[in-house]
Amino acid sequence: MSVDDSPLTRVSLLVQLRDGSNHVAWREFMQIYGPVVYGFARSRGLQDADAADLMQDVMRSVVGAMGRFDYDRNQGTFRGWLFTITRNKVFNFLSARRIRPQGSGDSTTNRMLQSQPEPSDGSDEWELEYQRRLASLAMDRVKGEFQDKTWRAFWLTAVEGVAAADAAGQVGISAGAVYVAKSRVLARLKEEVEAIMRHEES
Amino acid sequence: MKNATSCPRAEDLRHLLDGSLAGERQQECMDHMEGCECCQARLEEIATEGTRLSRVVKHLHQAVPEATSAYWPALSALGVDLPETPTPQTPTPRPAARRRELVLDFLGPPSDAAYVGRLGQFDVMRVLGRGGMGVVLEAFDTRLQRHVAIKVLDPDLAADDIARQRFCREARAAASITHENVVAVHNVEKSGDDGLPYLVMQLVAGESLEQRLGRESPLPVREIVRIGMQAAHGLEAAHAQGLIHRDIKPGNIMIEAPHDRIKLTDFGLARVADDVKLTQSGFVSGTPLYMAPEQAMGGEADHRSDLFSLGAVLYEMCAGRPPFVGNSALAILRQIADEKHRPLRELNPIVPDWLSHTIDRLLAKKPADRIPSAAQLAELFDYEWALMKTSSEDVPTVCQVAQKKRTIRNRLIAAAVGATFLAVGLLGGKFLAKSPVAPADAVSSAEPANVLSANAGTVWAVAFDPASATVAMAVEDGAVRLWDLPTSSVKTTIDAHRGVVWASQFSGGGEFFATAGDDGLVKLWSPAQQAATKVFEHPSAVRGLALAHDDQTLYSGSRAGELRAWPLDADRPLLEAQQPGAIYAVAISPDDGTLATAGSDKIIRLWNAKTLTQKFPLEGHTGPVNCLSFNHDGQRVASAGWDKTVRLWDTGNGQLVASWEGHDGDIWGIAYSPDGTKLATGGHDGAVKLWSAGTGELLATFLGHKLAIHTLAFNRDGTLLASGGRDGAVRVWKIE
Repeated sequence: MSVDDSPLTRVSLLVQLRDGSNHVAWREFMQIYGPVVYGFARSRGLQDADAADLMQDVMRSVVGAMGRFDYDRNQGTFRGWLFTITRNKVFNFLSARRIRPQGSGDSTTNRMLQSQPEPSDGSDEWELEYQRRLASLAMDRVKGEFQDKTWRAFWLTAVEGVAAADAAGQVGISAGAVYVAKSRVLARLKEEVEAIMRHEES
Repeated sequence: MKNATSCPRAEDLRHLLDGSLAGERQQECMDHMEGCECCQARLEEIATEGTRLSRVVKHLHQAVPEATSAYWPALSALGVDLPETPTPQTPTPRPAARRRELVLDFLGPPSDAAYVGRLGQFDVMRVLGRGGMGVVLEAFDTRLQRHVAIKVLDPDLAADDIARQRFCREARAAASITHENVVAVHNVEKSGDDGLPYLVMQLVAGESLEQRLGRESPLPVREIVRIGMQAAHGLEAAHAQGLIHRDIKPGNIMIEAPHDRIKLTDFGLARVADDVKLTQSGFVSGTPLYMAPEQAMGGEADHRSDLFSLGAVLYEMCAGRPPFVGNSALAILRQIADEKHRPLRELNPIVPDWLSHTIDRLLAKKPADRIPSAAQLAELFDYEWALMKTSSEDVPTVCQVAQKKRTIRNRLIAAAVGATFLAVGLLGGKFLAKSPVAPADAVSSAEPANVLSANAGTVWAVAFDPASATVAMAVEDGAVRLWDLPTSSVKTTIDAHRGVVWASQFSGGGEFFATAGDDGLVKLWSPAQQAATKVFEHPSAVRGLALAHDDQTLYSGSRAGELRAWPLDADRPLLEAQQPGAIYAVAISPDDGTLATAGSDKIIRLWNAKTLTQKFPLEGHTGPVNCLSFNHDGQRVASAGWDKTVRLWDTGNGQLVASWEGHDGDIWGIAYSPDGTKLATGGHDGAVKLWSAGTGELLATFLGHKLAIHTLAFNRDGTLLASGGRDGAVRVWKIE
């Protein structure tokens, strides 16, 4: 899935973000996109502290761009735009590391550097990070709707990858019930993720 | 292995997922599932249809940075305190480096659950903001029966005797200024117990220039001149009293509704906080963007420093950015001291020469080179303003064209930003919009008759009682609040539901009202009582509610698509029906004959209200439908939702009568006026729009809500329209 094929993200939120004092909008925004940017940077090989710095840097750029209207809705989705900023900063970071003599000489980093400028590169990871973030938020929201056993059965099998038979033993229900529990939660999560996305993209 | 049964059909698997399979059959399917890998996969496939959710959730417990990650301090540094949102089974404790919690322990216990607390004779409604100096509260003065803003000196600062003395002195000086362009300071008081000083001032309904610039920047020239003129008059009045502001910036320039009068606020107060911080750390915090060079270099400020700052604000209104920008406070300070600002005409060619020249003079590095006084600046603006007014009123037709072009462009251009700039660029600075207050669209300058705020979360439903004396609002935190409209005060707060209250409606006679909640309950209440007089139970969250006009039957629609009809004197539903997807809205025709439902599956359904048999579906919306309203004779039903369009349908034949794009985002609320001539809509863009129901012509746009609007209601005679939404406020607008 390309990052640019969905309708644009929340211009209204962006407008609110321009008003620096709008903490609610800013918090909402960070709650979704902070971990996405951080997670993406980690997936490109950045260490924790570097990824955290980069996240901060990206978010400051976002705020700055809001002030300068760099972001043009007609140019693509907001998520795509944020991806471009993030990708460029990751690239800059890795490039800077390359020219430092004491920088990492390992071939993985070099390969990564080679591949950075490709426009399509990384968009799948980016999209996956975004989907994971949405799923994580959705989990927080729907968890309370399920019985504890149902949730644990789902968690063990779908998230932690435990075999259904083992999960059945741990939770104390039949394996068949584990499969049903897992799928029921997934179905509800799907609904909630779609609801968040609708909200995001409105 | 219990694999004796054959594989269940897809339909059975769907029912297995939503729990609607009969107990016996459900057990069979579960047993089958245990041994049939094929069906395990099929079930999961159905559950996650069209998504990659199974892959996405795998190892998701690692999705949030670990508690020890540098991510969390980085997040704090960005000024974000996330609410606790632990990922299931892997709670992520926040690091210690959080911003200090807002402590309101100087407040006494509130007199009503709707208030945050009490301070002297003031019922504190909510926190309006927080600055370097302390916290700003909105409160109701019970003695003088008026709303006020209260600034409380930060307890840390109050511990410093000098800061405390200075706060009181500056505040008293500010109280001596009486001018229409200065926010009135009523008095300075001290709280009883700990003697914490606070300032009681006029509550300005409206927004700050900072917020305004957030929506639109640069501003139209005419608007810049008007704001500059009024700000200069305000400064003139203060300077005449020997009072220096020291911190003129967009955040301290208020734009008061309804006439957009400019009011300066926070005279002298910047110094209180800065003095303390300087002695403590050697640094002044906050933005130096508008600071005069002599202040930037640590020198003494005088009235000419205020003129420089006003010049910097005028520059930003013209250019869309402050005259000096940089990556750090130090970089900005250096530029302010040493560098010449970029000529305005390079950034915005339509700024008239005289204005550009005036701003250059205000931004002179040496105080002696500036326009010498606020009085002279005000005079200059008065003169130019008078000239502009006569020239623009000579060309009314062109003005209308300009207005129209701007409206169209705004639809095309994201965030409505820069639109004015373009239109003005095309038409020349002279032919600006007719009204200096119109932000961009055909906007009514009307201010709400009442603003009922202080709700702890989104308002999902609002309703007038038949006498238009009480407004009921359903709030996200499970409360239903009854407001007394004439006094704009809370009558009662009812702890109505667990979770969101989605709907509320008064009975025709006003003797009772009904509410529906996320807890699956529908409740009836007498306005005078705290306990429900009747409770109906639904299996799932109830989103939509409609009370028949004869007050005999109540209809409810749930998130699971269940539609029920309840005789008010019975305990069980009389009729039940089911539709696919979630129901978001239920409405009943004035003759109680037809029921309409709408929801996630995009189709509006009409039902015979007496039998709950379905009539024809109304199809055409391309996304979920959020709201419905019947007109006065029941011949039309209006709908709107995700696809931003307003649609009017003929309830007799199911034909689409009219449709138009209503808002820049989802539409959440729609209401026919009681006489059926007008239609009100409210949307994600925070605007309330009033349309001619006959022609679809936009009659007025009411601005005021900062966030999405979720509900709208007319009062019985159609003279008032209430809107409520995500900003926790209900605004009541007068309708002509």
